[in-house]
Amino acid sequence: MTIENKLKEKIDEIMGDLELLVGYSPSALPLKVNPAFIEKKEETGSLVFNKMCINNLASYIYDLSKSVKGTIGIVLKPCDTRSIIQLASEELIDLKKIKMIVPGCSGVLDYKKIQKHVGGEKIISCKLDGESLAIETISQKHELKAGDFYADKCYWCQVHDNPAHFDEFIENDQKLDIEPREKYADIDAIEGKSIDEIMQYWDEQFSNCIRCYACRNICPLEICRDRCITNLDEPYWQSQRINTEEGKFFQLIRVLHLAGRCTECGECERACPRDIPLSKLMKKSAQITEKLFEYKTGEEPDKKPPFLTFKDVEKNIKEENLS
Amino acid sequence: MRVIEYISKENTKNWLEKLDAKNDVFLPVQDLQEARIGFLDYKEFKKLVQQSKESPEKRYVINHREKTALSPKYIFFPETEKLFDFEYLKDIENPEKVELRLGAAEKTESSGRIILFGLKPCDAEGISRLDRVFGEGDKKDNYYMEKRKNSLLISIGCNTPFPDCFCTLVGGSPFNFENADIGMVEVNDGYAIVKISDDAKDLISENREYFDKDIDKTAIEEEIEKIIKSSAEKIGHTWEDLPREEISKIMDESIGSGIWDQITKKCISCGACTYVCPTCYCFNIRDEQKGLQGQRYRSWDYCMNSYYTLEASGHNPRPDKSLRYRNKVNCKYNYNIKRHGHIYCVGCGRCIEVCPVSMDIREAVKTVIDNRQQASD
Amino acid sequence: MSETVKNKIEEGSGTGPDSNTDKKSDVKIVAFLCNWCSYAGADAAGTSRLRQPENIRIIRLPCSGRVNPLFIIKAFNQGADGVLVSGCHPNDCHYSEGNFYARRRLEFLKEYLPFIGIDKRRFAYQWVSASEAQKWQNVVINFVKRIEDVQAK
Repeated sequence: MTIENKLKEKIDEIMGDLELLVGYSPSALPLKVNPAFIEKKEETGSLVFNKMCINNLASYIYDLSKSVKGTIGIVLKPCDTRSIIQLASEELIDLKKIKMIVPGCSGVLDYKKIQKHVGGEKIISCKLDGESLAIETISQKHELKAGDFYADKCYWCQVHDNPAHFDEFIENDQKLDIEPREKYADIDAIEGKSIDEIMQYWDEQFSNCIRCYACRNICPLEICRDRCITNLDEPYWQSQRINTEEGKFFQLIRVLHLAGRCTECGECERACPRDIPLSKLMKKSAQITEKLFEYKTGEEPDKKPPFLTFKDVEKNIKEENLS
Repeated sequence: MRVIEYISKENTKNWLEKLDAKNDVFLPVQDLQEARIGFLDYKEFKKLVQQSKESPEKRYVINHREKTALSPKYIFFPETEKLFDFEYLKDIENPEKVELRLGAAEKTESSGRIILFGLKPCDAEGISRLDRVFGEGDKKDNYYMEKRKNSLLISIGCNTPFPDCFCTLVGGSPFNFENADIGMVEVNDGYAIVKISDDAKDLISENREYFDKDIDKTAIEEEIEKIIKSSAEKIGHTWEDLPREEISKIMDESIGSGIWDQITKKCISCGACTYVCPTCYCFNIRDEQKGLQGQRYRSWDYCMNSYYTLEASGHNPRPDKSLRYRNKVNCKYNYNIKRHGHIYCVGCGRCIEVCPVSMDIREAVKTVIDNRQQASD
Repeated sequence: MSETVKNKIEEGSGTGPDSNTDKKSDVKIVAFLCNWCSYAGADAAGTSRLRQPENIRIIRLPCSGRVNPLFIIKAFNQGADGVLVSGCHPNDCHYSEGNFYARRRLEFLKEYLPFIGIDKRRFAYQWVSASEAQKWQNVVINFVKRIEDVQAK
C-alpha cells in the first residue's frame, strides 16, 4: 500500500475524535499542493501525501488552536514536527489538544529550484515518474533527475523515518534516497567573501524586496503577524518605504525575533514572491545558537529556549576586555 | 485581424534602439542567472549586457513571452514616491511665528515619451484600469498622470497562454489590443502590426526603414487566425460562464454569508497577491520628520494587512482575514464595476502563481456563485 | 535646507578643548549605558576630569537588559560607525538578572553582524561599574582607536 493510502486509512480510524483535520489535497497547478481543512469523515478521500507536499502545515496551528475548541489533527512531515514542539516549549499551544499524524517522508521537491533551473520561466506541466521528472515550459521540454531538485533541508535530514515526537506514525516503504550534502556549505561560501562583498550581496538581494510580509505570515512561529512592530507608528521602528534598506531591516527584525526559535522549515524562502534567499539568514542564526548555547530548536517540549533563560557562567561565551 | 505593417525580429532591435535615443523605452528582460523576469529601462539593459560580457553564459535576454514577476504598473505608480518636502521656519525674533515651506517634488526632465514595449494584453488592460482611477473624475492624480500622459503602450499578443491565465473569463483575450497604442502579433519570424493608435503613428511613419515593404497581407492574416485559434484552446480556466452582468449583485448577496470563512481557511493574509496585481491601486501616505524638516511620501499598501482598516479609536471593522479577502474580491468584482464600469481583474494569474498557499481567485468567485445558486434552489 | 539650520549643524559638534587626539576625528559612536553602574562610572570619569575622545554619544537606559539588539542595528543604519553597550558586572545587576539576558543577546548579535556585512570590531559590550572611572576612560580610548583603525581600511 502506498503511503498515501496508509495515511488515509489511519485518518479514517481517528477522524471521530477530531474536530478538525489539517492535511494536503491536490492542486490544479503543477508541482503544488493545497492545504486542506476537513471536518467530516466523507471528505478525507481527497487527501494526498506525495513528493509535492513541501508546505509546512504548522503555520496554521497557532490561529486554529485559538478558534477550535476540540482536538485538532494535523498531518506533518517529520521535520515539521519541530515547529509544533517549539511552540509547545514556549507554552503557546497545548500539546494535549493536538494530534500529530506523521507519515514517514521520502523527501519533497522544491518547485522554486526547478523554476530557477529553467531560467525563471513558468512551468506549465510536470510529470514525476520514479526518479525522472519531465518539465515543460512554453519554450522547451526538460528531462530532469528528481534527485537534484529536492528541498535543501532534505539533503541533511536525520528524522525522515524516525521522528522524535508524534501521536501517530505511519511507516513509509519508500525511503529518502539522495546524496547527503553539507548543511552549512552556502553559509561558509558567503563568509569567505570580504565584508564589503557581503554587504553588496545582501543589498543586491534585498533590492527586490517589496515588503509583502509573506515570510512573516507563513512562519509557524511568528504569531505576532497581526500586531507587528513594523506596521506601527508608535513606537516608530521603521519607515513604510519600499526599498533595499527597509527590506533588509525588516529581515533583521525577523532574524532577531526568531533567534533560538526558528525551526528551519524553509517556508519563508518558499513564500517569498521575489525569491530572496532568506533561509541563509535563519541557518546562520541556528548555527550560532547551537555553538553558543548547545540548543537545537524543536527537540524537547520541556526545554526552555535559550533567550528566555540564562546561566551564571556561560562556558561558550568568551568576553573581550577593552580596558 | 487586419495586418497593417510587418517588422522582422532583427529590425525590431534596431527600431527600439532608434526609439530609445529620444525616448525612455522599457522592455521585459529575463535574468537567466538569478531567474528573474521584469521590466527594465533599455539603457539599463544595455549596461547590464555590457557588464556581463565577460561571463561565458549569456545572462540577460529580452523575453516577452513569459509573464513578468511584477506588473508594469510601477513604471507609472512607483512603490515609493516622494510627494513633497516640507520645512518649518522659525523666527528668532518672534517665537510665536512658524512658517511652513513646501518644496515641490522634482520633475524628471525627460525629453521624450515613456514607451513600454512587449506588454501582454492583460497588462495593457491593467494600466487602462489604473488610468480610470487616477485620471478620471474631478480629482486627478498628477504624479501618475504626468508620467502617463506622455507614454505609449506597445502590446504583443500571447501565442501561448499559461495554465493560470484567465483573461477570457473577465472579458479580455490574448489578442485584445483595445487599450494598447500599438498591437503586435508574433508570426513567422517577426511581428505583424495589427493596430496603430493616432498617438503612436509617428513611431512607424518616422521609422519606415525598419518595416518590411511589399508584404503578403493575406498569408500573414491566415497565419494569425491559426495562432489565435490555438491560443484560445490553451487558456487555462475550466468554466466559461462568469455572469458578467450579474456578478456585482451576486457578490453583494454573499456579504454576511459564511462562505467567505470557508474560502479563506488557507489564506495567510500576506500582501503578495496585491503587490503583483496590475489593478491594485491602494497606497499609504506618511509624513516623516526629523527636527524641522521632513518629507511626505506614498507607498503601496495592501488590503490584506490586519491594520488596513484600523481606526484611531482602536476599532477595526475587518479584524478577520475572511473579511479582508472578501473586501479584496468585492473591490475587483463588485465595487469597481459600480464605480468605473469594469471588472478590476484582468485575468493575468499572477496572484495565483505567487501565493504561497495557492489561493485561487477563480475558485473563490466560482464558490460564491455556486453557493448563491444552491441557496436559491 | 534653510541657512540657519545648515549653520547650526556645521558648528554643532565638538565644542570645548581638544581631547587626547590632536586632530578631531569624526567617527560617530553610540553608547548604550545602564543607569546604575556604567552611566555612573562614565559620570565619575567626567567629574574626575579624565580625558577621553569626544566621539561617544551616550544613551542612558535603566539596565543593559533593556537593550534590544535592534537598537544596535538601527544605530548602524542611521550612520553610527561603532556601537558600545555597557552595563553592571554579571551578578551585580541592579535588577538582579538583566545583564545575564543582555550577555546572551549581545554575544549572539556580535557573532551575527559579520554575516550581514558589518565588521565585528565595530560592536562591543563591556561591564563597567560605578566606581571604575579609570576603566571607562580606557574602554573609550581603546574603542575609539579601534573604530578609527577599521574606518581607515
